[in-house]
Amino acid sequence: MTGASRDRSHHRLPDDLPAAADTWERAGAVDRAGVRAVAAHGLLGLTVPAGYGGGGLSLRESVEAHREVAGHSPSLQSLLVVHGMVCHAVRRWGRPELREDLLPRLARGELLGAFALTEQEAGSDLRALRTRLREQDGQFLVTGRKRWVSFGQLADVLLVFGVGAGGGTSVLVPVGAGARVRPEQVTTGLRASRLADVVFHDTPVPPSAMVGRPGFGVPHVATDCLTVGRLFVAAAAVGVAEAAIGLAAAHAAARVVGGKPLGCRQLVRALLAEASVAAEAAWHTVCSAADTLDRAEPAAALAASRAKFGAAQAASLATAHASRVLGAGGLTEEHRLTRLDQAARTYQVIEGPTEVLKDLIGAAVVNQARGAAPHADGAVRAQEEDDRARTA
Amino acid sequence: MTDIQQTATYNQVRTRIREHVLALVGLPDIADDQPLITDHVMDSIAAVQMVAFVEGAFGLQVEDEDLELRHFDTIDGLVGLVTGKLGLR
Ligand SMILES: Cc1cc2nc3c(=O)[nH]c(=O)nc-3n(C[C@H](O)[C@H](O)[C@H](O)COP(=O)(O)OP(=O)(O)OC[C@H]3O[C@@H](n4cnc5c(N)ncnc54)[C@H](O)[C@@H]3O)c2cc1C
Repeated sequence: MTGASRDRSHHRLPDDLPAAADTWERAGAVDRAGVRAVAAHGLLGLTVPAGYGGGGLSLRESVEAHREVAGHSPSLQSLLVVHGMVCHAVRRWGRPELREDLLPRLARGELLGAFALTEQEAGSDLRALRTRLREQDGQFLVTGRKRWVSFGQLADVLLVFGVGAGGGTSVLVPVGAGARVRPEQVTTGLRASRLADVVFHDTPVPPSAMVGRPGFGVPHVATDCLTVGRLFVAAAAVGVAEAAIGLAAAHAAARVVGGKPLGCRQLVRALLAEASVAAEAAWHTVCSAADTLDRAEPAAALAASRAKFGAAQAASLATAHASRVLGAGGLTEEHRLTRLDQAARTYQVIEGPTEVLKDLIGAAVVNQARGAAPHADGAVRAQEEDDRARTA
Repeated sequence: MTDIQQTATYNQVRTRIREHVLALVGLPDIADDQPLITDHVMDSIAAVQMVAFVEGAFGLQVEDEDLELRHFDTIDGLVGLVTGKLGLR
């Protein structure tokens, strides 16, 4: 639809995904059967190495699945994001025993992982985390409250970020006794993503459950996970943009207004042109960022942020334009476009709000120039040191 | 490796790391013991990039037990981590 090339598919989606997605969205909840279906299709272990029972895909290969799933169900795609981030963290920064024990089960979807970073007072500002990880008698005791945990209502393990004696880190906490999980209010965007509000009170976890070292876990493991997460959300945003363009194009071709199809009107064509080129450009940025991550290039984290920023903008533009083309019909609560539109709005906030990403990307652009011109203004830097440290 | 070769390689590692850090933070010069992360000279994204750089440039695998602030907070720390892993000490 956008003219972006379709890649050879490395995955298969459940046949009934489009119908199931409608059911979940209406109910405001992806159900366990849906989770089992995506697990059975290997979608929960796409990038986990084959040796651990995963699909062994590169990120470049996996973004295609994220794009496609999101086109049908942005809520379900968000499960692939958070579970994927947990798999990534365990594989990359988990102790060998944790990796051997959990990764195969996570890859097969027997265990569901969720990502618990955000707190009431710590959203985009990671320095404000209040969750405590206290060491006592050879184990960690977790105390704190996490908000907006996607699929927290269904998860078996939560990757929880908090602060201990040696600084911030993360631990993989089994959900069960010691963790109180309550549903969040249903959000407009990603409304079926089973958000949870989770409270821990001296919840014990063994030292082997620590992912990342104290002092390094929060800035490092969190940023590393968010980098992968941003890439996945960027791919999803392209899927959402394309799905919206698909709806708009079909409507423009079929709907006759004033004696001719809408698609013959230049202003309608302009809307489609703008949306389609924005989505295609975003997709290329996503693919290039995925390659950069696969090659572990130093610029990977920045590339993922750039891709997420661009793709979220493209999704917002495409859904807004599509909404104009579809007219009243597209504005009903149950319309598929409404779901896409609300997802696009959500993508501007999650995995790094657009403003935070712009700040980060703009700072990197200035930085590059300063590297080339060593006498550039030092005042910019002083201001920036503070700004940039504040956000992962 | 002879002592002279060891010293030459050690110096190459330091030069390579220095150049990379300077490019990353966009400063013309920086002391080898200047805290980068704790003094907010480098943000968390840059810190993640340092790990990728160390692995890519020197063909190393940074393990979770290497993820200590002292290894990444200064140029000296980075040189120590890399040369230690390369067996240059
Ligand atoms: C559907 C959904 C799913 C989610 N899933 C998860 C999850 O699985 N795990 C998890 O940990 N969290 C999750 N979240 C939380 C999400 O990550 C946070 O909402 C996000 O980090 C922003 O934090 P906040 O909402 O507290 O907004 P705030 O941090 O209060 O920011 C609000 C707004 O202020 C502006 N802003 C913030 N910082 C800056 C800055 N430095 N410069 C300029 N402007 C700025 C931006 O416009 C931003 O949107 C989810 C949220 C939603 C809506």
